[in-house]
Amino acid sequence: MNQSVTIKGTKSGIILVLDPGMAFDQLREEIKKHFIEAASFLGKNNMGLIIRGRKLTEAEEEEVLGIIADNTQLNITCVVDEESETERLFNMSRTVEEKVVPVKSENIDMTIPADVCDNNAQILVGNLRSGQDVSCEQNVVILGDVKPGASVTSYGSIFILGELRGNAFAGAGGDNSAIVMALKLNPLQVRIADAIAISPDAEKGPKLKLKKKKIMSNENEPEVAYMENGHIIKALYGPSFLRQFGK
Amino acid sequence: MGEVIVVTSGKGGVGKTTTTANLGTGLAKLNKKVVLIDTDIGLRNLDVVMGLENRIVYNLVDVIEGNCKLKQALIRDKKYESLFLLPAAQTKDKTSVTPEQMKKLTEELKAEYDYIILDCPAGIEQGFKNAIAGADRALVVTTPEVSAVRDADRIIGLLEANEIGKTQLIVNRLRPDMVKRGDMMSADDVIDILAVELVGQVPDDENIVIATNNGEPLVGDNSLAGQAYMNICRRVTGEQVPFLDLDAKKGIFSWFKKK
Repeated sequence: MNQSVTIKGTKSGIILVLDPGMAFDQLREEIKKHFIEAASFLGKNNMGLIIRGRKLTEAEEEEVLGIIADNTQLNITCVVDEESETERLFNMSRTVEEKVVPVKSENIDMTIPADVCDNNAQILVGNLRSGQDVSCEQNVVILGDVKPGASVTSYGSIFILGELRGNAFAGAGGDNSAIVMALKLNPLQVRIADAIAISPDAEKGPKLKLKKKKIMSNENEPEVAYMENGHIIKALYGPSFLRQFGK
Repeated sequence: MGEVIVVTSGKGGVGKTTTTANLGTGLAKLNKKVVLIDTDIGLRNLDVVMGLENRIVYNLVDVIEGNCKLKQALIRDKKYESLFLLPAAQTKDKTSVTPEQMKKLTEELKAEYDYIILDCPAGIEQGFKNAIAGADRALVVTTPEVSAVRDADRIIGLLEANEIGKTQLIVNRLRPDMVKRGDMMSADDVIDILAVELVGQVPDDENIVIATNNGEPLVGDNSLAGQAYMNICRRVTGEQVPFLDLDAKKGIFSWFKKK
């Protein structure tokens, strides 16, 4: 990373990545500059703050919070100590028997490893039902269906080994190359980076039933949604897609 | 200056959401500017009944929390230009909104729209309090069953206690044949118990189920329920409309069935 200060926004908080080598006085100016620039983008929300790349002393942390308070409308509700948090979650997961419960978004945000969207993936077992909302910075693999009203958000790609009927948001950080793959892709909405695609409106009554049957008969192949020229395209996940995607 | 109408019932499953959808669509048909607000946070349905589920990007809670502008969250109806929906959030719960915030929101909408119709959740807890906070007028939906009428009575009491100006009643799912046999209360019987003004009676009609599943409210079409809802809309705008003779129409339908 060539920048000394980087701000990343996630759903439940902002991540501040700091250069470990630079002197703090210098860094302070950089942080200030970045937050002034990002103030309008960040809006006025309650957020958690995660500091990465550098261990700050309490006094330094105070200063950073001061800068944020002075230059943005954000309300920092907590500063997350990632290391201890990760450890806690890890210990918890060892003691608690493995359950098929989708992990809540807050938890995921804190367990993420240092790099955004490396080749790791979060694996979730079980169906996501209406009202459940999973978001994380890694790729996501879901062994189950995503029902209408449920949503999955990822900085990377989303792979659903089941049917997608709810909402999926891949490349939430702006990654155009993210894809959404599902064994059956019948979503309400798919979003990739800045593009959004909505499902066609259902046709009336009996037609709907007929249509569904037809689709079922010729679509046993997995499907994929990806972005091309700013549009989201749905295709069969087959050789032709893979050739294109490999480029 | 618009009017804020809350559609409520106390008991669940009596047809609040269906009524809200049909009322909104009907008023839009009458060239009114209408916003429907789903206040059932966590169990939203109105978007499904309206067939707008796939268009949701922002919701009520996003507006309240300032994550987006009000205009961004309003979803325009597929058919009617002057009809908008503000959907509920599915991943939050009812405590994420306060009555004061709802009041502020409805005040804001009043300036631009003729009718703001709130779909109230079942129950009398926070969701109900949110929904009635900004209401000028209430439509209480009930079915002709003792349990629903009992809950409606409680609701009317609460509405009066909260000084909602005008409370009117819709009796839903009437079955004229059962009423005739004396097995079901008639709309008049319900009115006798509840002592409020009747604004409409809607027959039990299978077309409602079909319309709901298609995501297209049936108000104004040829079905009996469609006409009943259209009449309610016109009464809401202040027009005097005689009540449908559910029984006579039923006669024609059964004649068709026999054939």
